[in-house]
Amino acid sequence: MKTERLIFALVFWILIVIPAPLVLIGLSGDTSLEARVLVPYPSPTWATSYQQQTYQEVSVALEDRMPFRTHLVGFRSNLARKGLIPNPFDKVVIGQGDWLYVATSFDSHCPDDERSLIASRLATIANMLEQNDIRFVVAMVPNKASIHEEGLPAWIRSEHDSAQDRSEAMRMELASEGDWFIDITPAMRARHAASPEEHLYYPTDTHWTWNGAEVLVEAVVQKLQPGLYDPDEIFLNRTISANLDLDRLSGSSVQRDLHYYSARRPGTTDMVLEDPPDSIPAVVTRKHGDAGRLISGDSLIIRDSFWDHAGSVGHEYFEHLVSVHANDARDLQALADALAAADTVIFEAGERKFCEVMLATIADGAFQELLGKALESRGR
Amino acid sequence: MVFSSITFLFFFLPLVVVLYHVAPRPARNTILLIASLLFYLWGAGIFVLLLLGAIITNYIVGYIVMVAHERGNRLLAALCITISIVTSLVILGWFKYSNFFVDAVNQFGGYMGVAEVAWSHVILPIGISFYTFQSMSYVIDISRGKAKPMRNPIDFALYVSFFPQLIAGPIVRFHEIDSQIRKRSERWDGFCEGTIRFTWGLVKKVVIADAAGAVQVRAFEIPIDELTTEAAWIGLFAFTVQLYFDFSGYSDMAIGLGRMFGFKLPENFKRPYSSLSFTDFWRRWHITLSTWFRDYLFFPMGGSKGSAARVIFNLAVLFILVGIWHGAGWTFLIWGAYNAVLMIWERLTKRNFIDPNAVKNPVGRRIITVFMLMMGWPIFMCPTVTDALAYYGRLFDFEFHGTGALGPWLAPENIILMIIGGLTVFLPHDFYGGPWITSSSSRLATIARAFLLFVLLPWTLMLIISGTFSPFIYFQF
Repeated sequence: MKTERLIFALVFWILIVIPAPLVLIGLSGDTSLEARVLVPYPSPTWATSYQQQTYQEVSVALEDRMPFRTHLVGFRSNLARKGLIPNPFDKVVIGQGDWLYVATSFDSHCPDDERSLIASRLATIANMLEQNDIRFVVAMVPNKASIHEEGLPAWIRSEHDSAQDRSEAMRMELASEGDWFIDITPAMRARHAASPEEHLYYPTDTHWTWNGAEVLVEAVVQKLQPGLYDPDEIFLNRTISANLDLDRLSGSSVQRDLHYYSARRPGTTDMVLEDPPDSIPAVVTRKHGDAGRLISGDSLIIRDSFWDHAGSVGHEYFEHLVSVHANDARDLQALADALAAADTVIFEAGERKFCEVMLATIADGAFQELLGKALESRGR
Repeated sequence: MVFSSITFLFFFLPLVVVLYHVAPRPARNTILLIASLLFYLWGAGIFVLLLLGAIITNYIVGYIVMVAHERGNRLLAALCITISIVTSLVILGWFKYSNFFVDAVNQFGGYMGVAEVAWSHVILPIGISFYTFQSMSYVIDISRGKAKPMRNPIDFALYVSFFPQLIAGPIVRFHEIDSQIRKRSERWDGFCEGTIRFTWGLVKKVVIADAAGAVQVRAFEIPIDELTTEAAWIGLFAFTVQLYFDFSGYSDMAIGLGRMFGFKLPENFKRPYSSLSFTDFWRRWHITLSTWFRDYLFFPMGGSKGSAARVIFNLAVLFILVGIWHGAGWTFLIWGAYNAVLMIWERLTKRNFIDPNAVKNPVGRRIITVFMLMMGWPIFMCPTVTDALAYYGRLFDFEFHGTGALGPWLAPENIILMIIGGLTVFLPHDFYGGPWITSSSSRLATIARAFLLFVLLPWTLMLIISGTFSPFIYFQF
């Protein structure tokens, strides 16, 4: 009995005592799976030494540095993915057949009071640009859950249906305002229905595969220059191994293949890359081509991460394209100047953040005035 | 800092245990006191000053009472004790009940057309109910001559602030621990037993209570119009399991920690869901609170002696106070009254069973008792009476549409653990898991300890460590 208790106590205390020295001498601590740096230790002063927050910060810093943390998270993730334990990772919804969905897909985005406001403001922007001979296109990229519904767990259905109703209403409002809105959701649903085995999105990533991205690229190119898009020009350019975002958010470090496509377009050549404009962080591509092979003039695309999977093909169709992430386009003055300087403006945003992004950029209440002045100063 | 946190488990506890056992005996209480104050500072910040205030005030009162007794000045002693108790109650009342009181006044004033009282919300310091009751116990025990005042302020400060039982009990009455604070023997056997008991409590809290808690939280979060009858019952069952395993697990950990430092803290739970009646339940649930109220309130009021009307009155007062001790709100008051009604009914109908051999159908009695207990939990759990009534409505409208939004929380692990938790109702009436797994030399207990050490403890640590996963979502999303 005594020996047995002794063994119990020894094993317990070995397990409990070992981590502290490893943490304190800095031999552990890995937050790469979480895509963030280790939480730093706070620097307490007399003024903060009695504040609870100081001690909470110490706790969080210690937690980050616990040995084997990443391995234990991965182990738990596997059990959750197999349905044996409840999903502890609230940023991800675990679906059927290893499908994962980002939890915010089902949030209450695009509420009733925002929809009409956004649609009317975008219509005004479209009018202003059209009057100045600037072509304008807005596209909403559907959530994975809006297309691949087959993997959704039953319990999320009601939230999903509510989110779908809101998005549907937003798309209807936009479509009713003018033909500058490209609604690719019906086309993607049709494509998925025609070949259900084909993945338009990666099962364990928020983003789409080329099969899904192609719908957008084709629709945009078709809209701007009909007949230009040719699927035979598309080829698999490279495959990289990566820890996909929903794997990572659900605690798994598994590596999977990501496929990037490009377009082989005889008659077009790359030109020297320009430096991005000072005002907005951007990627600039320039092409030279035979007449009619490129969308001419200066094009600007305000986009999100979905364009990462579409852009390697999409960029091949523009004579001159400035690509700006929507998060880098929050300086409204610079954004207005960029729009006024372009011949073509494309705005691409994911369904989940569509309203939020629009309200923070071109559907901001102050943007119309800024754009008006920018157009005026450009003499357009 | 809770016992199941990484900071406590892997940093604070090892450090304190090592410092305590390498320190010379006279310095050990000082080490525990410093650790206790740091423990409280970690969780409560500036409110540590309130704790220190309670310690200093009650120490001075105790000292004056001692001197007064020595000089035969009973009036001064009585005066000091009265002032001390009133002050403790006023401070507790201010921090715990003033928001509720002002809300009630404003609500009533609203009906009468009176302007609202302007009010800044008062923050409740953690553990105030526990250490206030301990402080009051010190003063009352001295006044009754059951214990002598402590001369050493460090010893007294440790009694009030001892970290294992500071924020969630057990509430230790002064005369129970007085001698242990002054002198105790730390034995290796006791340390090992403490380790086993702590592990037992940790597993109960992290594995069972948290699993049931996840289901319960979700069930009570679901908008009432989306809550199905099945989900409402599962949520109620989950809360029943969670509350017991959480609270009793914490008490097990506290008792285990006490043993590591040579203390024998009182038992706080004796499998209350196996009770034969409410009378039995209140002898097995949060025992140290019941005992505190019994000794310092119920008995002085007359207890069970006197006329039936007097006993009914005493029970009503007792349980309403027990109710509002748990929280400031109409829901807690009603929950206390619900318990009072059941206790009074049992007493009047002589159904206050405590001996399984004296009952015809003990299993049936247990099921009835636990069912009646569960009927009280919605009012205890819901933030408002309206919410509780809506929840009762869902429980009994019998509209069965599946588990709905509760689905993802009903993974096999949670279901199995909740069933295991529920089945403990049917264990033998006098079987108590904590003492059994700590001390029994039976073969079954040995196997259970091995399972606890090599399966449940690693699983628990995995849950604790992996629970800190906090991924950064790319801004591009």
